[in-house]
Amino acid sequence: MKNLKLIITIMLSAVTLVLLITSITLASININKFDKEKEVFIYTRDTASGTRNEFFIEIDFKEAKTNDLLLKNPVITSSNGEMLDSIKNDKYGIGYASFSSIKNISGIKQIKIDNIECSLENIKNDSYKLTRNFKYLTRNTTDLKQKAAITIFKTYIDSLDGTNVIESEGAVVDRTGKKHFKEYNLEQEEKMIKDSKITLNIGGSTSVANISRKIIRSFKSETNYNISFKEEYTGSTDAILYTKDSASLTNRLDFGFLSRDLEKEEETKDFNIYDLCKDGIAVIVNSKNDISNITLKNLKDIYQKKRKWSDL
Amino acid sequence: MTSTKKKTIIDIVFKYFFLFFTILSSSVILVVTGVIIYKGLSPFFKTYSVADENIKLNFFKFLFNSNWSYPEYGIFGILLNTIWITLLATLIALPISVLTAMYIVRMANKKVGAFITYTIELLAAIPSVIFGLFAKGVLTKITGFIANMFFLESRGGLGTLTSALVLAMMMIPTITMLSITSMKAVKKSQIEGSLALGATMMQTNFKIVIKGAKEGIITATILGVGRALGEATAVSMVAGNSVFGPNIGLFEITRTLTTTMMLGLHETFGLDYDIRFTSGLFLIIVILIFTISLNILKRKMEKR
Repeated sequence: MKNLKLIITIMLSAVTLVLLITSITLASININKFDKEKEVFIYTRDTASGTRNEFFIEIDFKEAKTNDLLLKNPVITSSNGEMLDSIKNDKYGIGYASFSSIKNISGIKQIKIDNIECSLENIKNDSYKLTRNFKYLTRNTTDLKQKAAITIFKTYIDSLDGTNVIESEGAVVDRTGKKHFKEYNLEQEEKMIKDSKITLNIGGSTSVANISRKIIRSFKSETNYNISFKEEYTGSTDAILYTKDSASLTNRLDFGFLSRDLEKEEETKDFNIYDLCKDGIAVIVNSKNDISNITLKNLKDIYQKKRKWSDL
Repeated sequence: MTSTKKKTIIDIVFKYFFLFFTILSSSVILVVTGVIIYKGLSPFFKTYSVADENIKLNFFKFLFNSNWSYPEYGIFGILLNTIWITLLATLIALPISVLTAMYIVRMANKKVGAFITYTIELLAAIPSVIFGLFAKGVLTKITGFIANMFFLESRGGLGTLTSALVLAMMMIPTITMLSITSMKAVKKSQIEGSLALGATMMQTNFKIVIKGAKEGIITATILGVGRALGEATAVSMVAGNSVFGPNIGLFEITRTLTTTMMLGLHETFGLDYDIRFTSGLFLIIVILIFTISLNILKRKMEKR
């Protein structure tokens, strides 16, 4: 009787052990395999994100800009980095991120849309559609000296030297017909600011702050104007509010950088609007995923409905 | 005569001095809850105009809707998620902590016991962000692997089980430390009596020590659950923030009251901002209901 009990216990434990080992080996085989019959898991940024805003406009799904209920059970990530990390962990996931941020990151891969790859070249010639514009505003002022300084710095941003800086940051600028800064004729403006000290106030979106800082640094090192800079980056909306003559002196800006387009009701004659550069939004999947292309229609589809990877 | 008078004056001055600080500290809680209640209720009375649309929330719709997104918020799913995750975390943490405490108090020799106590105290001092990082980097991979083992779908390990696990890790030190104290308070004579009556060591441990420390363990659980309910940082890193609730499945992504408050708070405004205060209001209500009901349970046990 006692022996029987012992045998049963041993057998039971042996069976559980075998089961455990087989399931673990199966799982470890399974973990590296990509099963096409599995559901597509979608990842998105939260509704406050500018990247999300542009993404849903570009895939023709404007209603979902601020409404999560229209999406098919999404995982919501709160930053670019969290998005990349989540896709790295989920082999059936799909998401989107700023193009300049995904260089040299292992575990994820970007896929083509309608057979067009997200690359600097394709963003430049407009064949890749998922892009957003960075813009900047300059204040319309009656103060002639300030105006001259604004013109000088704006010329620098648009010159070959300024755009060089922007491209080195991973964004795309149209450089056709542009000259080096020294080749522009700025005699009048230079005469105007000759004997005075002028401060330019720079501000706007935090996403553009990096680019703007680099431009200012290279402007200071390559030219010798008597212009100093005061920088404070607090967001695109602030740039629109404060790049006006009517703004109070303490937070009035001469240059305001934007990471989004202006709404119609935000446009006024107090400032001029210029394009700064273009940033791509890349669609990313896990590197174990064997998909390499998706159509724009399918992309909208998977964010709306339940889909398997084999449907694509 | 004058010196006594002087002393009484000093006494009175100090009395009011201390009273002032007492009022100051107690008014903080009044101000905080007052602001949360005021701001939390405002979405139901204020009309928000967003892009030509006027939105006003209906309280009952809000209470029984289980999807959370602009413009139709509903808290029902999130409430259930929060309670479910906390329950799971308690189910994981309570047995582990009580058994650990029993080992330290009843079985371990002095040096080992002191060492384990020390490590658990250290565990309690680790900030929740660190737990969150650990959960994101390690626990998600483990839960993802477990899901794979049972051929279940998981979203890279994010979701209910991982959230519950990280909460359990945070609850364990709290519950263990308090359980140790209450188990140490069990009278030696009772234990010795039990042993003398012929009960084995294990019977004594479970029937005398744990039963004797019952109230302390319940207090410990109240504190642990309080920590779990209020924890935001770590959970928000692994919850996945689902939109459609309630999420009962262990490997489903989820959303709790606290993660809802945190997600995108810095960049939002209007209704989407104010609604976070409503979420906070509900968190306060949940914690109050929970603490009061457990206290009632404790008092009933004391009477028996």
